[in-house]
Amino acid sequence: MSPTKLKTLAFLVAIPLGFALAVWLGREAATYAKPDKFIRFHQGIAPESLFYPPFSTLENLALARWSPGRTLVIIGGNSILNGVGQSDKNLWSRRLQEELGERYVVVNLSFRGALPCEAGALVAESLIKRGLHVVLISNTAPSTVGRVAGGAYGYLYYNGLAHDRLMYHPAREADLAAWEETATPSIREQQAELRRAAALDARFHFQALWHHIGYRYGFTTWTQVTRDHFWRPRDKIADDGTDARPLAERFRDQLEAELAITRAFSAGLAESTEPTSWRTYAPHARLTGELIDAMFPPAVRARTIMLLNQNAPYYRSRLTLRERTRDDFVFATYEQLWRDRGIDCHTVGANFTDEDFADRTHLAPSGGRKLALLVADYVRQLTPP
Amino acid sequence: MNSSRLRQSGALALRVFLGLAVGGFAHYLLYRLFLPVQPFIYVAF
Repeated sequence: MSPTKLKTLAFLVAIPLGFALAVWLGREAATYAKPDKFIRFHQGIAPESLFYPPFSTLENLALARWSPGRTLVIIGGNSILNGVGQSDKNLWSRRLQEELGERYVVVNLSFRGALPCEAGALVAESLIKRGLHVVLISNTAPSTVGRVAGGAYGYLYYNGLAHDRLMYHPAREADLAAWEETATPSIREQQAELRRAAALDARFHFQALWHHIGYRYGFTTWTQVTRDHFWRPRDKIADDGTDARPLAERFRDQLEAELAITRAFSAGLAESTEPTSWRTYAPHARLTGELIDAMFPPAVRARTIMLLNQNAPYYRSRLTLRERTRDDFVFATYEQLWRDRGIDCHTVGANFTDEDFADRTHLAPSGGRKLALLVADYVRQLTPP
Repeated sequence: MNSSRLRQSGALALRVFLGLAVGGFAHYLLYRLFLPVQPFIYVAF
């Protein structure tokens, strides 16, 4: 063989070898890659900055702290449980770990804007499936269940599904199929692409490898959030969470808009029978119940504590008497609805003070401490010694 | 003679290295292709 042919052959053979080497490295990364000294998913390691931690990373975070005999407390849910309004030093989940003690391992896998059935809930499902003793803490507004697919964190569902991490739950697949049928063509195409990505990733492990490299050695994509130093490895980007502003500076912005959101928590969910008497608006309650059944497999429901977060008293006290009674009615009714579906559910924040809130919905450090005490009690009740 | 063989070996190693790099880059492209085009912007409700 001529030297030129030999060099060409060497080049061509090395291409699949290079790809195979990257696949092997990705497969390895999926078994260990995770953020160091992890407290929560801040903006620098979350989808806001195009960092989409793979399902394996979330699992690694939970398993790294767990040891046999201990109960894993996985925190899912949204920005309230993510601790917006609290610096990482004052984060409520740190207080929860202190309160629960050595018998429990608390891991905060919540994301800003996540639905109660997304992200942390799916990791809890995977670990329950593997036989670990797990409690899931998640949160939402009374009637918000949503779906595991279709949102910003929907990639985790397809990722978990393709890696065979999730339970067999035909009701969920049927609901998603029915939802996709009525969705717009662009949403259908988006879901198909997420499925393709997850199926390819299950074979080639590119998400684990390149997120690990992005976290450890350097990120290759410009994002608005990291625009001044987008190339920096994500482990060099600090948690940007801060404690709530002084009380005198809170609740000043957009009073009317925030009041409208406060009203919307119960408007449309109850019909009045008399001026201050209410009954549930049945179609919405039925849909909420069906979604709970579809999105949470029964084995997960039995291990879940769902928190319904009340709004700050600053706003609730500005509702009319009629609106307040409707608000109380809806929270109590939907709390019972979640319980009827097999999920331990509690309304939290109703007796917190303005001092405890950083804004209408997020908690200040003092509110975080109160939440940790409440949740610790709920966890102990669900997991008697 | 030896230096010519050394040069040829070096060129061969370079081709192997380039091939490995192209393979790794193809793997990286898969990751980049599936990054969402639209960024997720968090808004609290």
